[in-house]
Amino acid sequence: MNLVQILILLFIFFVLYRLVIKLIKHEITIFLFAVWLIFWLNISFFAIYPNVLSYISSKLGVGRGVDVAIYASILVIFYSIFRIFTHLQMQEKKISEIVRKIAIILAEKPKKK
Amino acid sequence: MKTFIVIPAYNEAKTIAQVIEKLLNQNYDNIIVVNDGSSDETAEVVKNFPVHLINHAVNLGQGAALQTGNEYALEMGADAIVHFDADDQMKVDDIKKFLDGLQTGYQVVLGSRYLSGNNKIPFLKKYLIHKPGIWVNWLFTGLKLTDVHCGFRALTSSAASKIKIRQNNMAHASEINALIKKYGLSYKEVPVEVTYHKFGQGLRGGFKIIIDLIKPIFFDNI
Repeated sequence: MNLVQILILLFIFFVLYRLVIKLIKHEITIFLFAVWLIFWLNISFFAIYPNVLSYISSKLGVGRGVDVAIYASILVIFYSIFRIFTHLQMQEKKISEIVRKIAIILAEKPKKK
Repeated sequence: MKTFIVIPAYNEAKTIAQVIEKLLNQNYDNIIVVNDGSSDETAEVVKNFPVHLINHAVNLGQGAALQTGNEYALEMGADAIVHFDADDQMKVDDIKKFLDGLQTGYQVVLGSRYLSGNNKIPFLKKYLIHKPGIWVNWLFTGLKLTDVHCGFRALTSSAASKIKIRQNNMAHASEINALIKKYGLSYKEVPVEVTYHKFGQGLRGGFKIIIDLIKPIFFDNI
């Protein structure tokens, strides 16, 4: 195991530690904990066994194993950005509806002379 | 025809009083000012007049303010709703043209600064923002309009109940046009006169308007 692999595993260990703390403090749901746990365990697997990525890359016709990881990461990042963006749009819509409802309820009518 | 004038206002303390006075002087008594989270004294100024005042707790954008005004006006039993700016650039005299248009059977009447030959529209605004905007609007909505971004418009209550403005910012202008097309609403343009006191959006804001004109096409279903 080389230095890069060790650093990656140390980082993942830190992330998993933070994840467990968040679960204990009920800051994330069990489902979300499980999703991120599976994700980071997969990353650690590929960090320990990089040859698996090389095998995958050869099957896909991509140059190196790390290239596969980068391409996959880019796809995941763009999809995540899309999901975040659509989520923000929904939040903005809900905030607008709440502000509007409150504003109309508290509307000040013209004072009668 | 019970007509409500909806005025979206964001930091317009300097001009809102004149606008309301001009409207009241011409017997437009049903005025709704939607104070869109202003940080100045807009609300305090408006309270001096016998008008409806709706305050957004936070600034949402002109589109959101118009939608709030529309919903409130419909609750108040409006037959017609007129959108009028708070910056004292529009002429109250022009409102009659809109109401005449509605009474002859049109469901939406849109103002156009280009049908009137009297408007001195800044060169950059005209050719860098408005003209491209007209083409973009025609491309995406199919509506042939001479002015796609004029905030002066009138709607019947039935049109207002169909046109739900979801774009909070300046994109609402093209959204309204798209909804006119979607619901097959009858519309016409009338000439309006505007007096520019300042550039308005600024060049950067103007280009943002072009982007905002396209946005509803892609994000309308979100």
